[in-house]
Amino acid sequence: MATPVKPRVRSDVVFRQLDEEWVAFDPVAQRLHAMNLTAALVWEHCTGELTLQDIARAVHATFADGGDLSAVERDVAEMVERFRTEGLLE
Amino acid sequence: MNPDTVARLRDACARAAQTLGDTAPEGARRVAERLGVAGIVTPAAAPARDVPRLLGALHGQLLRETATTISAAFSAAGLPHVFVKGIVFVDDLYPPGARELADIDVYVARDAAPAARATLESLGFRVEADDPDRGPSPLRPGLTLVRAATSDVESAVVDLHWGVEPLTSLLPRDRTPLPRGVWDRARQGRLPAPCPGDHAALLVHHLVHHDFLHVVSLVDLAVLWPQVLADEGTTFAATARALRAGRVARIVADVLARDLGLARPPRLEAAPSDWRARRLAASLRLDRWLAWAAAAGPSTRAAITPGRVGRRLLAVEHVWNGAGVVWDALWPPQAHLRWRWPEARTRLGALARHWGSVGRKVAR
Repeated sequence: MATPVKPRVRSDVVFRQLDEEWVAFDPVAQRLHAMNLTAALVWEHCTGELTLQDIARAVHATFADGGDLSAVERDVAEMVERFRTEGLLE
Repeated sequence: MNPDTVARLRDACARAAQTLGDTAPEGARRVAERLGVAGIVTPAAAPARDVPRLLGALHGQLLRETATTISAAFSAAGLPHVFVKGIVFVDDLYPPGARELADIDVYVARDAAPAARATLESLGFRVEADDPDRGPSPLRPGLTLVRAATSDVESAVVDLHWGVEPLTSLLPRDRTPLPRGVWDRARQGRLPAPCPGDHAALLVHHLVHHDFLHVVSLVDLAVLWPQVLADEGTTFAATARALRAGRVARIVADVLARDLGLARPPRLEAAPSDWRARRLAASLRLDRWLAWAAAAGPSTRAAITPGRVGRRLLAVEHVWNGAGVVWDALWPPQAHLRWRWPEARTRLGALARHWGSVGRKVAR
């Protein structure tokens, strides 16, 4: 299955910030995924309304020195693909 | 938490481990884990990204959110309430993730209990059946409600209290309301909670009620202590007396001073020096205390054991308060007998099994 055009995270996955890190807990698989800030930002934008490019632009805009947009697009695509392979997307 | 207090607690865990025959370098941590204080005593030994610790922290975070929802629902229903113990302390007194959180404890007035239960049920909670660890529900001035979920991390347990379990009997009784002053002095913060002096007195009461096995309450007390000292211990002493735990409060204050290096509240009377107090103080020497609490299983909390009877007799305010304790040990109420010996067909049959069980424990 390919990465969806407008990815949406599963609504039953518990996503929270714990102090300085972010976690997503999959209650079905009973698996905990720890995330860094960038992955957490991508996660929060996976609402089913934004394309990968939209998400990349939003993440890029969050950082004062966001660097090369195309590099951010690649990172976002990789992260969303990781979410998909972990079964965290609808 | 004061680093010196943490170091003393860690040393006491190490000595307790040696007492239990665990001389390995990890012994202190193992004792701390059994007592539920590993995150406080040995934070460096547990890496921040340790999965069990993250799961514990996430569970705690979800419980805090649930407590906020409950508080809003109680307030909307016009139900005065105060939260106690871990759910109050976890944010304010401990570093993130250090304090384990198992459930939410909340007090309401006795006449508000039915409405509070209905409010919790409207939030998806259901009354839990009798728990072998807690004893029979009908005797308790409270209820345990559970909101089940797909995973343990998301499930929530609420202990709804509408009274304090008296220390003058061994088994729970529904007859002692939370002292009026605790309500009058309650603080409206993130969650409504008793003021520090009242809260500390409730922790001492909790320690006695649970046969001194909930060591995490002692650690909570140590962390709360600087705030207890703000009024020189006046509120703590008065509320502990009102809860019939004044004597133990003075002894525990000595333990905190002697073994954890904390200041003694100037307004708190000196610990009694009679034989009962001396025996209790000796058994509460911190390393000894931690050793037997770590060795005891959770199953002893609701059971009638000679050790539990003996410690309660040492802890009650006056010798004659022990009559209720002995009476409970000899003639447990019907509800307890039915819960403990469900297979017995008559009360006499259950009593015979009870006496046989206690007799065997005494003989051991």
